[in-house]
Amino acid sequence: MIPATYIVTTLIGIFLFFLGKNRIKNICMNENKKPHSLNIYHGLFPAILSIVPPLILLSLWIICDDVIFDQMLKNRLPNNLIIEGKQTFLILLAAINNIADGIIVGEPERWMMDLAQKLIIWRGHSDSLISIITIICSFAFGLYALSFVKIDFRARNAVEKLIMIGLIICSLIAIITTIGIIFSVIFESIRFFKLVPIYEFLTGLTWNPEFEGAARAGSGQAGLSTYGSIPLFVGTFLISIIALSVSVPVGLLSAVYLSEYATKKIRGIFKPLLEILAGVPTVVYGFFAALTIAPFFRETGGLIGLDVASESALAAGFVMGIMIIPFVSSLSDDVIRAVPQSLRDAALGLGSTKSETIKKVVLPAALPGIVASIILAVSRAVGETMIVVMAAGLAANLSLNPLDAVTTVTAQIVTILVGDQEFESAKTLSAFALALTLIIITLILNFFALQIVKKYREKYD
Amino acid sequence: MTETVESIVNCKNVSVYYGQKKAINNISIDIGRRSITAFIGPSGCGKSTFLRTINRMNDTIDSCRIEGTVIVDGKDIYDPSIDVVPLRAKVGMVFQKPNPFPKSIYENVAYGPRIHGLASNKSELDDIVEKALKGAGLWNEARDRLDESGTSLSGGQQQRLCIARTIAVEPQIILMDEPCSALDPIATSNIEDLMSDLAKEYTIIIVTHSMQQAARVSQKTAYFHLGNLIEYGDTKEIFVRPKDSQTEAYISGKIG
Amino acid sequence: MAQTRTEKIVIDGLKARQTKERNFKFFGIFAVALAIAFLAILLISICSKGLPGFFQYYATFEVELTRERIDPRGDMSDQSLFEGEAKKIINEAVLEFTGAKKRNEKKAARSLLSNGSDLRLVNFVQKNTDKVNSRQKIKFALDDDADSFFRGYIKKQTPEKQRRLNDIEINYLEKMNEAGIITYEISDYLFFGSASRNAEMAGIKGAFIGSMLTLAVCFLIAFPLGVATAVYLEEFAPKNKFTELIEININNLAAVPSVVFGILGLAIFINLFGMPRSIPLIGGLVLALMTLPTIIISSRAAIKAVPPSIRDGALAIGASKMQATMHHVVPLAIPGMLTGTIIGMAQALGETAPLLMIGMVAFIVDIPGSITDPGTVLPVQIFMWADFAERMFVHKTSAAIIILLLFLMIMNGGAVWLRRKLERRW
Repeated sequence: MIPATYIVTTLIGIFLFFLGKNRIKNICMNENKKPHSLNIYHGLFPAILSIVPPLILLSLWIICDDVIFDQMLKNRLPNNLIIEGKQTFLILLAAINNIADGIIVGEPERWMMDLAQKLIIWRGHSDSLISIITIICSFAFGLYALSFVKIDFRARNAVEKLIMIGLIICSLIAIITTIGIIFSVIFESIRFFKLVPIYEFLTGLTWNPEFEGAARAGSGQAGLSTYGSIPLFVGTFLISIIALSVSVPVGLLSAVYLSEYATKKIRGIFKPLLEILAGVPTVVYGFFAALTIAPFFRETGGLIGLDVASESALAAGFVMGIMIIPFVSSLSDDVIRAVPQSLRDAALGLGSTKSETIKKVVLPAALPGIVASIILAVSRAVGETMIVVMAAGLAANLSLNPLDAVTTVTAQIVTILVGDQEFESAKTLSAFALALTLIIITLILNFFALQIVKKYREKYD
Repeated sequence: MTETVESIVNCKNVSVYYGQKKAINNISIDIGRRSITAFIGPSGCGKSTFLRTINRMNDTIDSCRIEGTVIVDGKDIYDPSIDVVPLRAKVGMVFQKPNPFPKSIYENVAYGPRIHGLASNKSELDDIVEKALKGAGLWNEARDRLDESGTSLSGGQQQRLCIARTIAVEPQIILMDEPCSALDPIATSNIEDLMSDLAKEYTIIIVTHSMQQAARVSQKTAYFHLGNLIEYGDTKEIFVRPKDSQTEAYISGKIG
Repeated sequence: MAQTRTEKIVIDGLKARQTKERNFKFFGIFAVALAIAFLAILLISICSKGLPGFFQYYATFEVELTRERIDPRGDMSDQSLFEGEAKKIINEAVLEFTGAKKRNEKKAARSLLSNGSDLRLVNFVQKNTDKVNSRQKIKFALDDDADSFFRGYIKKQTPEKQRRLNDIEINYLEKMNEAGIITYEISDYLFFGSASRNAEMAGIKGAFIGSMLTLAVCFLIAFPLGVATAVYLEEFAPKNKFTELIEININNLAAVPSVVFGILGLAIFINLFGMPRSIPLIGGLVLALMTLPTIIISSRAAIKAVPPSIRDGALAIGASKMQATMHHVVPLAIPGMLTGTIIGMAQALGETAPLLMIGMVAFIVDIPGSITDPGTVLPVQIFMWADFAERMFVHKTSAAIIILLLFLMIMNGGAVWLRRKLERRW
């Protein structure tokens, strides 16, 4: 029914397009005048109005009707129903929805079958209702628009205004997404901080969300989970440091070599090769870290008498460092090349060697840009997920030893949120609190990097 | 030629190519010690390119290739055994646009002596900086603001800072590539005065667009056209009695 | 000629400075070489593991395709074929070949072929209905342990208790090999199989189709939105606080880690709007929001690259601002916009973390037929396979990675080609 409605509405629009076009043609013939706008705009104006707003309405309805149905189901749940243990309200609703979709597991209770039956009827009513409304709207808007079509109607301006509104709405998506992210994180985080005090989250030294039912009696007690996020941040920090100590020297020196020493041809070959490293999906790096690098480190460690964990911060950090090399190198390369040639000439003209010119003139001049590129690399490392999930492990050890297994903020978010969650439990909610801190950290890093780059640009523009 | 001046730069059959394009065509010229020689000619005539062959600044351009011999102070500077570092310490250069480093005035001047290790301690370095700034006529304006950025100076001051930076190394030759083209007339006349002073100690080769400038400061003038050296001789001679008709046309403003 | 003081000092210090220069240059070359070496090690490691993953061992047996046994209902329907005795027919053929008599011998013989062999027989019958009621040679995949034996991972010399195949099984496998019925061929399961716990049957078809559906959704949402936003911001937006706010948001979204987009999808689309989990529609939506900043930024650059003279030319002959933009600027900027979009799509194709959170990590055997069917995508499939310990899964995972990388190479190569070919030089 719904797909048919989409098609019918579109057909109405096309019909109105020709109606509008013919109408203006006839008017012109009768009055023997030229219209203000081309005929096509007189057709487009009613067509757009009869298609776009009704279809947006229809789409919104389809997205939102589940929310309304859930509310209606909630009001019709049996009064004597006891929600116990893991049988949360959400799971009940999902079960009823499944029954209505024809997925029946086991023998559902009688009242559930009834509700599912009702749900099917509601859905049918809702679909017919919205289809009728959509088609009526489509006609109404279209005919109303058609009534404007006259010889002196500025149809082009009207159509352009409509397109402009469309463009503005599209450009609002960025803001809507940001709002969506903030909302999806903040509300759950507030709920989390009601269960777990914020100071415990920020200062606690143990992260152990495993022993957890739906409710949480207190915190830090025996047998109960604890939500001290320090080990996660230390782990994130440790892995990022390892990654940077690989990527910064290699990336920076590569950038210097490729921009200052290499011939055009060599640069043309090696720069894209380096950038391939940035195009490899992170899951591939994770696989590489877990299957090749981690065993290699463990064996080499064993040879020299070091006890390296099978999932070590070193392996994950090292591979992450490889991944980040091109981020450091290509941004640094840009800023190094932005240093004016006249400064190089001045230094060379005084008799500096090339390396003296680079070390004493070019790099100091490019320093702000290089710092910005390193900050962006840090933000990249902090936000990286798959490598850590696959190679660094999930043990929340509070350790700065790169040979230990550690875990990170992102790895915890993923493990907590993969699979079925109960949105009531502190464990699930903790992922949102972690995400909130992660967002804040990356945005701060991004802000500083952009400020530095902006200042740097002003200096040379 | 009225007096024999000892020459310091001897070029023989020098040609310069950018890729396939020939920019300088078979030029031979001798340049006298402690004098000012001006290269003039319409833009694109190769005078700047030729200037840059004298301290091998053309090495920074990948596609550039040089034929012939350039002898500076008795040594063939394109000999494979020659390192550009001592060459450029000996043959300094001042560029068209003032290009101070984004560092303090002091650091700008001290840069050259530092990399070459000309001063063994701080007070020696201070002396070199002071002497260079005095030599460039900037000391009075800059003595109280040595810690300020070199880029905070005015255009003319910046160019004098670049000259100070060059003479701090105590080169023998200073190449100047249109040093006044980005400056106003007052700053230009300051630089010109400075050049005459410097010529007592240094050999100066200047590329200039302005014939008046060449006439004012130089003892000898070379006229370039389309990569060829058309005429070379005493400045007075060239401006008063050019031998070549092209030179005459340029000087009298018919081409340019 | 006498040396000046400067000359003397410079020449004295020259050796040390030349050494430093050489060292510095060496460090630069070393860094580039190191980075390239990392890339080479990565690719070699993946390829050396992945190329064997494209092949697997098959054993060919002659089976009697009796109509009544295979198709008890006699209508050749799926139902009927599944009720038939396909499994039994295969086992008989294997038992006949091996000559297994005792209980443990029979058990060993039956364990050598893949669990999915009966399905293979059914498929064969469905495709070749004319061959029913005859003896046919059919190729069956070996079980992954048997496969490992031929690959040399399970060695006969190892004590029996420490290997996954017992002496009888190895004996039978060697017998098959001597009879020449074992072949090492391109694995059809890899390309046409779907998710499976049995390594020898696992394939990427489901994940591949899931990836394509997800990417299609992502493109259809992100491209129009991104281009419209870029056009508005670059051509029409007034310079005010509001425009600034949009720009700040775009920059921030570009910096937000990808997991956060997964959280957005989970909390808003699934939890709030009650959309189903694991479907390409949601995956595409989430990836579209994630790639939007990339597309907007590159589209804006493409629009900026169109010289103002084109715009002025159109305006000068009386076109409205909208007409100048839509008729002249946008068509000229399209190649640049597409280049950025392809790069964004390549990012989306390789992305894993956000899709894990919206449930695309579920074990789904069925191949998704539309954007609202549950499915998974290639990178997630790789992630799931990477967890299995079997040697054959390592090979298949690496093979899947090679396929994924090939697609990324094609996309990025396409973007470069497009940029070179279509972008005009002004």
